[in-house]
Amino acid sequence: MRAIALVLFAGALLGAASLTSAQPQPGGKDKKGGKGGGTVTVEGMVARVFAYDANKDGKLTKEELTDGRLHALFERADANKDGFVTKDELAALLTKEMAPSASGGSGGGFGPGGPGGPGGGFGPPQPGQVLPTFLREQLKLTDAQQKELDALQKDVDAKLDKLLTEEQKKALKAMRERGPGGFPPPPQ
Amino acid sequence: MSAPHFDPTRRAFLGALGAPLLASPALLAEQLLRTPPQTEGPFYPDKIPLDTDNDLLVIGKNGVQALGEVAHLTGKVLDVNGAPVKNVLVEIWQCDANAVYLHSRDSGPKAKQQDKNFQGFGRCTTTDKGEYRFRTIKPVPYPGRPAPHIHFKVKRNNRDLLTSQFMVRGHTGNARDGVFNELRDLVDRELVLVDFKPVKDSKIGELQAYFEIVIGLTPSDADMNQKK
Repeated sequence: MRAIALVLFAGALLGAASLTSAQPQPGGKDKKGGKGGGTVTVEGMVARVFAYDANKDGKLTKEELTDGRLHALFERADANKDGFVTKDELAALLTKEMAPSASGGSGGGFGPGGPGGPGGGFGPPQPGQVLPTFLREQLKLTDAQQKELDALQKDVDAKLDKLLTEEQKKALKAMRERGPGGFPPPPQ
Repeated sequence: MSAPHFDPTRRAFLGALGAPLLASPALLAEQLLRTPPQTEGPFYPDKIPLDTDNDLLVIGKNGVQALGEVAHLTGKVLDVNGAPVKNVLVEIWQCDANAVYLHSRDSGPKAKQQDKNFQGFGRCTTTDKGEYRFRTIKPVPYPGRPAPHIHFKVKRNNRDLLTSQFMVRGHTGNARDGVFNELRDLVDRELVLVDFKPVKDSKIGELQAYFEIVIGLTPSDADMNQKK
């Protein structure tokens, strides 16, 4: 339990640090799910893609998807390879790809200005992430270490899942989705 | 029932440059999805090199070719209605094959590692059809950036219209990359992923990459785009 509290607290500290260091906020004009535009949800992303559902039958074909930049996504989403993507298929894919998973991946890393600090925008560490991705890179973990860390992450995730109430889990999920700026300052 | 989305003659011409990705959205109620901005990063060149042409593989005319996998990068800049954005400047910059950027803060300490034959930065003005092209290397990972990427800017009259980066579709480092993951919307991530495909019949393993950039123009920018 203690370890988890420490991890969350460390996450909060790093999160607070990220608020104070210079972070470029590109904030494009297109607010649809963009960085400055508020919470990204699976529903929102599905809506963006299904705007191309010309005949509104809830199934997307490649012909309807006239933006070729989204064709790779189409192919990944068409799980049963029937040439159609349903909202459910797309939602399932996006949910899977959004999960801050055991690969220590999609949560994003945070670098407190490492050597050459390339890029001010690493994003905040995910609450509950044992080692932010940037640190994994910086420490040059071996494959064996990565595997062990992934297993540790899975363990933390499972234990956290048991100890939090449904409401708390919802709040945590919302915090993760909110991204930079969504992190409250650590308690004094 | 629906009219064809592609004008076949236009498509045949575009085919010469690489597969066109976007049909005219005249039939769509929605505007095109904008290419999302991403961080400029710390290594936009602090000294613009003498040679800023669109061939990053060779400095000057007679330079030795840089290390790396040769990649032909082509594409277009479009506005949200699918109209070409003409006469704007596209700039790209990236680290060399040894993971060193041109910027003195990187190339200074890593001078021994640097590939001195890599131009590192290039410019191309879009044509009347909004097209641009570069010859460069396929990007490589950089410490702390597992996703290989090429930085770019689109500018008009020295004013930034868009600063962002694009990554290599399918590269396993993308999932671990902090900057890439900062794009919270997964659809946005798709818009900055580029395929690097082998050029057919190339004896030296050249690659081609096609990347369309969609930018929003302010009303005055849109006006200027009409006039030129």
